[in-house]
Amino acid sequence: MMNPLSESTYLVLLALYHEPLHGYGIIKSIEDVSGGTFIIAPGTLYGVLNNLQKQKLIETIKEETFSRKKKTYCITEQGKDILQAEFKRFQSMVQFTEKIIGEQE
Amino acid sequence: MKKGNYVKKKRKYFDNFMKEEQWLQQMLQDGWILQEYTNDNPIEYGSKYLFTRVHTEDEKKGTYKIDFHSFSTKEEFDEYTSLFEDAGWKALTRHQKHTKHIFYTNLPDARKDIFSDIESYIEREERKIASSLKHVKISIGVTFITFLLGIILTITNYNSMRFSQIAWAVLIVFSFYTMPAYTSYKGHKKAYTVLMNQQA
Repeated sequence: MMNPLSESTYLVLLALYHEPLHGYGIIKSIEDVSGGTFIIAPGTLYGVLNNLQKQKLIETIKEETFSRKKKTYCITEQGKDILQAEFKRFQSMVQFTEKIIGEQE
Repeated sequence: MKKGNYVKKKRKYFDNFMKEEQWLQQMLQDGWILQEYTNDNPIEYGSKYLFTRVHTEDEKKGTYKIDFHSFSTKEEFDEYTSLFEDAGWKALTRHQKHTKHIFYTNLPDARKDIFSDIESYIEREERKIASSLKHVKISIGVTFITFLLGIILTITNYNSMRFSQIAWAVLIVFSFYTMPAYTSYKGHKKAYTVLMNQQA
């Protein structure tokens, strides 16, 4: 059983769920999709990307299309599993919370 | 006007990132913008900073933030700095061998930080603490070897080196390497403890 993911870690895995992105692309994606509710700063993102690579939850892919050498990050199968498990945990927390708060009202 | 009115050089030692950021902020308030700096190195006692006069009042509204990382390749360093540049931060750090990275931005309030969670602040202290501790260990090793070598040379009378000279050598290594490294270790350990208590 994994420890709960930090909010930033969860958001980064989520941003990479459907498509590989480069560093700043992750920041933009999280900000745009959440309508500005979630903002990840570059220093935090860099730390999260390093940790996720060490845990093999994401990997880098080489992209030779652009002139600038930028790494593109992509989620691994293991990363997807972890994200799904965390999502289920959130869902059961929400269900449990609704049960209790719902009873009071 | 003389050049002296435009350039200011300072040397300063910090054992706390926030205090260093505040000092840079104060310099900016006083009209001095950071152009370059040297990496802090325990042997050199702190960093050297080079400031120039601000050109516009707008520049004074900027923010400085400091990160700490070591990189093994130039690619890693470039990837790191380009991420900050994309997000609107000017990287004042120039070299992959640097470990202290100062960033400057003029972004609006909500974006004036390089970290967006407390874990990142904790990890910054952890990286700095590990580095300071490494320097403490190396310097103690160097002190010990100097001492041992001195003793051997004295006993064997191989060299005319006298005991007082060994004592001086040991004292110099200790006060110019071990002490600053240890002060840094202690300062950052303190900041780390404060952060851990905040998180709990």
